[in-house]
Formats: sequence, structure tokens, C-alpha cells
Amino acid sequence: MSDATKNLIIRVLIHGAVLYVLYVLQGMVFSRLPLFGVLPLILPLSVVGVGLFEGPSWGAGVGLAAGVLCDIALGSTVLFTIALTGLGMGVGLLSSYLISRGFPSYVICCAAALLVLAFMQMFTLLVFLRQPPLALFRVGALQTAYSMLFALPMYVLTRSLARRAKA
Amino acid sequence: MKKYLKTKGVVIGGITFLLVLIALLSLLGVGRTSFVQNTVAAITRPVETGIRNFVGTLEQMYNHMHNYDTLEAEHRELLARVAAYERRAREAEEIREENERLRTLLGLSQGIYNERLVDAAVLSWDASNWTSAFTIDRGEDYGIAVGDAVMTERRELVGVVRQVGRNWARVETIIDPSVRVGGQMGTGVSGIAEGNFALMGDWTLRLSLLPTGEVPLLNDVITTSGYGGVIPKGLVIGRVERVGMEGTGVSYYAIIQPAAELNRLVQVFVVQNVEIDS
Repeated sequence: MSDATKNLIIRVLIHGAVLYVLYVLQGMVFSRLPLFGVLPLILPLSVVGVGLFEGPSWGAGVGLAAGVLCDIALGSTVLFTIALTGLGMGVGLLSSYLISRGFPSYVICCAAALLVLAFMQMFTLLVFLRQPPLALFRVGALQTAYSMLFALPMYVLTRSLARRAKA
Repeated sequence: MKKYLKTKGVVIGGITFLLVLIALLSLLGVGRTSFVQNTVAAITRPVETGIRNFVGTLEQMYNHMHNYDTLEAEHRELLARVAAYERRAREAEEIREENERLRTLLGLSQGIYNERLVDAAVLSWDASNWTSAFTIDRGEDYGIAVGDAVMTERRELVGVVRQVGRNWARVETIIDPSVRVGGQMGTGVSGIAEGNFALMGDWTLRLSLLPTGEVPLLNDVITTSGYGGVIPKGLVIGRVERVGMEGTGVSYYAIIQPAAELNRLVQVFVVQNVEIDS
């Protein structure tokens, strides 16, 4: 087995292990720690980080895996599988051609992604089930704010993973 | 961009193919889980069970140390209640036998619900802010199907099965905005008991679509009406906590406090194959 293949396998395994730990944290630890009655979304933050630092291919691949885990943790069908794959690829393309790979870009991408995801999550409730919009927007805003508390540790984690992969 | 697509076209193609495949597999069976979700769930469920058991043990130890007196008093009270229930069960058995004899005498059909119960443990709650749902450790292997009602041992309605995997199922509780159940007041008047997003945070639900002029009574017990034949009749939904007037100004609605303690569920029962013997 060549060094390149070995490195690729190690990189995939590390990403898989990190995603699994984040899935357990999101689904089983932070699900017991609501803040103002809401729970955070952590997995999308890692997808933004991988897309930003490792490019669109890794962003899309990690987004796909994170999306499947998110759909299981949150009980949705394929919403996150599709959204997070697109998110990882989109952020990867932006970082390749348009934006810098720094903390401000990461924070802006995370906030935008979390707001879009919150809107996607509330869409059915808002449009088809006609639930009160104010209550939905309040939960969407709180979910985004709570999740953003994890931006700094996730930035450090994904950047160190990318540096290790490049080394 | 063009350069990127030229060099990474195969990777992008592969990811797109996987994405389409997962989406198609999921869309093929509404309510049933895809192969991918089933496989990932099969890997993650044992960890969830392990964590649940670990947390349960810690809670037991804490309760043992700090709530011993309370538990002892509760135990004594429960023993007394069990004795009372046993007495009532014996009486009920006598009444059932008498009822059977009288029905035979009059030549009437049985006309009762035939239900099979599957007990299940609550594995984990959805980590979502938009639904109120949890996963149980029984699935297709035990004959559980989408639409089955879920209740407590005291016949209090908990929710409805929405998604079924091989060895797990996802239950949406009665306070979830997408759950609607036929509800009946003590007076026999029916309405629709439905979850509402604004009420979900308070663990309450709403009884709507009541006939014009019908005023719900505070503390009245709301039970399932059984209309539709999916949810059995007579399961306790909860008690009326508040009453208000609908926006139309001609009918009332009620805010219901669920009878089942949804935030403290450990074990539930799935009601299967509800049929009426004729």
C-alpha cells in the first residue's frame, strides 16, 4: 500500500471518528443541556470548517456523512444529508476562489449556514402546518445563537485536523 | 472553478451519485428507513443503549443516596395502589364474565377492541428544537408499524409511531405540531387534540374544532375518541388546563396538560393491530 493511500485512509478514519464523537455530543450530551429551551447544532459547524480548510471535495464528503448522522439524530429524512453536502461543497468552493481561510470568514459562513438550516427546519411547520411564525423565528434565532457558542472550539478543531492532513 | 471540476470531476460525480441514491432510497418507503439510515443506526444504537444504561445507573445511585426516604414512601403508596388495582381487577373479571354470559344470552357480538401490546424502552430523544419525538428499542422485528399508537402502562396516550427501522422506531409525542388525534371531552363532545409549536415548550397541546357553543370544563379529562380506527378509543390524553375562544369568536378551544409525564418516560407500550371483532 502506497503512502498516499495510507494517508488517505487515516484521514478518512480521523474524520469519521471526529464526526462520530460530535454526533454523540450533539445527540446524547447537548440534547440534555438546553439553553433557553433550545438545543444546539454542532455537526454543521464541522462541515463548514472542513469545507473552508480542506476544500470542496472533502467538504462535500464530510458533509454527506455528517448529514446522514444529523438526519438520524434529529429525526429528519434526507434534509441534512442534502443540505450539509451542499454546504461543505459550497464553503469549499468559496474558500478556493473568494474568501480567506480565517476565523472571521468561518464565523460568517457558520452563522449564514445555521440561519439557512433553521429556516429549512421550520419551513414545513411554517408553510404546511401553519404554526405561529413568531415562535418559530424565536427558536430559529436561539438555535443559531446557541450553536455559535461552539464556533471557536470547532474552528480550532477543524483547522488542526486540516494542518495535520497537510503535514 | 472549471479547473476544479476538471480535476475533481470523479469525486463530485461520486458524491452526487451517493446523494441521489440516499434520497431515492429514502423516498421509496415513506415512514420506513433507508438502508443507509438503518445501517448507521445499527452501529449507533448500541452506543446509545450503553449511554442510556450508564446514565440510568448514575441516576439510580443518586436516587438511592439522596431520595431514599421519598422512594420508600412512594413504594409504600404504590404497594397500596397495587392492592387496590388487584381488587378492582378481580371485580372487573367477575363483571366481564357476567357481561359475556349476558351477551351470550342476548345473542350480541363482542364489539370490543382487539389489541396487542409491545413493550419498549425509550432509547433517546430527538436532539431537535422543531419536533417532540423519541426513539424506542423495538421496530419491524416486533411488528411495529407507522401509525401505531404509543401509551403508558396507565393507558395514557404518549404519541404515534412515525418511522420504523429494523430494531427501532421513532415516536412523535402528542405535543408535536404534526400529531393530530381525535379527542373527546367528558360530556362526549369530540374535537381534535393537536400539538402546537408555541405550546410545545410548555409540554401542552390544544383541543380544537369543538362544536359551536361547547365550552370545555377546567380539569375535564380528555380521552381519545377512536375515530379513524387507528388510535384506540378511551386512552387518556390529559386534563383541560385553560380555555379560550378561537379567532372566529364562535367556538372555544382548550389547552390540555398531557396525562403522561412525557419528560420522564422510561418504558412505553405500542398498541398494534387495533381491530374490532364483529
